Amino acid sequence: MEYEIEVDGQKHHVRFFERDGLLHVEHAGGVFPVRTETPLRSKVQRAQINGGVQRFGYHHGKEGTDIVLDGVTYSATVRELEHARLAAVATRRTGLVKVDVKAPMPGMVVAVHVQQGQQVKKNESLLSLHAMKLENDIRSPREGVVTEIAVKAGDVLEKGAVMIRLGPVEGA
Amino acid sequence: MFKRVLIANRGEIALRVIRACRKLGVHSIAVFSDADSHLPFVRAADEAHYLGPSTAADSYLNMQRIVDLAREHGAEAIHPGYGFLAENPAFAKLCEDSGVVFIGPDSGAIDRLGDKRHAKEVAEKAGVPVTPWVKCAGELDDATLKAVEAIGFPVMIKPAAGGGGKGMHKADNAAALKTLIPKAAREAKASFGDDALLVEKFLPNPRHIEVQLLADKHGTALHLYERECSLQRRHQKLLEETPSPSLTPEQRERICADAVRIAQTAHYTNAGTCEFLVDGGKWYFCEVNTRLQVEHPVTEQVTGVDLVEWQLRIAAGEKLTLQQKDVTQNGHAIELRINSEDPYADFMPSLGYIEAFEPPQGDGIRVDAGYAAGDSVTQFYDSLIAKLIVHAADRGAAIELASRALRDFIVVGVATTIPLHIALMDQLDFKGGDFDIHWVERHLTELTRRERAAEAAVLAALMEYRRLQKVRDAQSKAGEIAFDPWSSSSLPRLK
Repeated sequence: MEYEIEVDGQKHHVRFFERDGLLHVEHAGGVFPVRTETPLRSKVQRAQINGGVQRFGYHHGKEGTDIVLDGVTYSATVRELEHARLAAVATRRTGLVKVDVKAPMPGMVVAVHVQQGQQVKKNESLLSLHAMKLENDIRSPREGVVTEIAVKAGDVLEKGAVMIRLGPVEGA
Repeated sequence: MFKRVLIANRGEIALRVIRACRKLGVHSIAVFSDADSHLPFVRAADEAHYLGPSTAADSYLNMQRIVDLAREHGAEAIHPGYGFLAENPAFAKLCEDSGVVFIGPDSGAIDRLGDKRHAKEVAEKAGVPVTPWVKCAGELDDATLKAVEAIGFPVMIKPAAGGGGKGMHKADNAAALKTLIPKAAREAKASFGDDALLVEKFLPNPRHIEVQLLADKHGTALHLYERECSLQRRHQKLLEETPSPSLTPEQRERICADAVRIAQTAHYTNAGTCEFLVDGGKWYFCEVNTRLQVEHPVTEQVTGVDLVEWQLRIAAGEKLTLQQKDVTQNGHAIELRINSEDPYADFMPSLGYIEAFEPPQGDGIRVDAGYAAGDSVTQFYDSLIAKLIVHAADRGAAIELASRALRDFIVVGVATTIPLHIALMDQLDFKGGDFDIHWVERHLTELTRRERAAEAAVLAALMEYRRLQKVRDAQSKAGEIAFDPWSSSSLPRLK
């Protein structure tokens, strides 16, 4: 079985196969034996890869697979390589044109710092959201142009509510 | 000693107070909001009562309802924990007037010391140096601006009634001051119900060192040494330790004596903390926290004194049997705050269902946690989900133990500050004790690397492979059974 995994914007290719009754993994040019016995339903897993023991957190949800290593949550999308190739062709056709900036948590809008039509850089502050007793700066996930501002100061938002829509920068 | 105590708080600190009650044979009564009904502290208490809706104002800040519950259920005393009503003189007064003991100082002392402006005046009277400062309301007027200009920019804006670093902002010039004061006032009002502010001289690179105090109602006040709390982000402490790696033995004795003098001048009782900013061998008094601190466990580990037990004893009128000479620092303790915040997304609160929660165990490891697997972190309260406290013979051993314990601490479902702490334990500046209150902000890049993405990718693929194998196994098994020749349903019907 061959997989394409995307973690932190990087793609990885991993292949599993059985040899001498043992599961092996091939990744980045190396081949290692793998042992894993923790029941799948457990959210804390132990695996032995190439002799080294690794304890890690695991959660499989609708949005993908989360692996927690040294406290860091790595959110991975895992696809069988065949599926990944087909999906890549589809994405190339549509292209990424829009991004919705959604409320990462329930809260109240304190102030909107941008205007419709304004060009913003990645990490530029878009608005302040009051939640958990603090004013949280909501920053732009990428470069773009503000095509819609769906909220105003004083609005109380549910988690996931669309706050701002970003479109592509002209000529980019 | 009291027979029944109500705990007007939630999460890990409610559990901490329940443990002290149990030790003293006191019946503990928890109160909870809608959002918290499933949390461990509700199950752990001897008795638990519904307080109100999830919003803090309707539950943990609802003074009258809390006092009514205490009286209705026969509690002789209320422990406020930290935050919420812990430093609210009106609440302490309401308790006093209702014949319920407030476990903490009397309302007069909270009023004098809990207000940072009054506290500075007390320190001045006790002969302890303070940073230059002025009072300020929710809007900036000309007189205040003139006074601030006399101190000189940059300055720090703080809520007068505040604590825990909320609503604090640095202003570099008059324009910034004008914008930040209304914002700080709003945050102060939201967090503490009072928008009074103070503006004080900003020290560029100080350390934050505080001294733990215990004082009984019979005139004895003593200190339990210092805590180093310089590692902060946005004025929120991330890590606290004791002893401080930066004080000489002589400085330690003097700063602790200063703190005791402030407690005596204010006729303070119960547990409290004097906070100082230390800059180039000099220290300036900032404020008194008239309550138990989040970071009290490091003091408990090193001195062997149970602070919550003493809070209850002192409130019940007992004398401190402890003497200053009996209080010694044994080894080194570090507390690491495990917050449900994402260090990789500007420390945004991470809310949701906790899929797994496996804290480390072993010698020298203490975990004060407010949540367990299956609980949800909601947006209503602060993001502290657990405190990891390590205690070892010396600072180096404590750092090593912390590093191991952090790697063993597995939380799945919400992002936490665990990886930040893991990275911090490896920093040479931290190991060498060489840092100030801005160190974390200057080094966030080094503290938020994601170095194991490739391994995570392999593990994610491994888990997906196993998951699909299981699905396929189940499918083929189901297939086999369907064609099982021995099963009666597969037999051809004989006519």
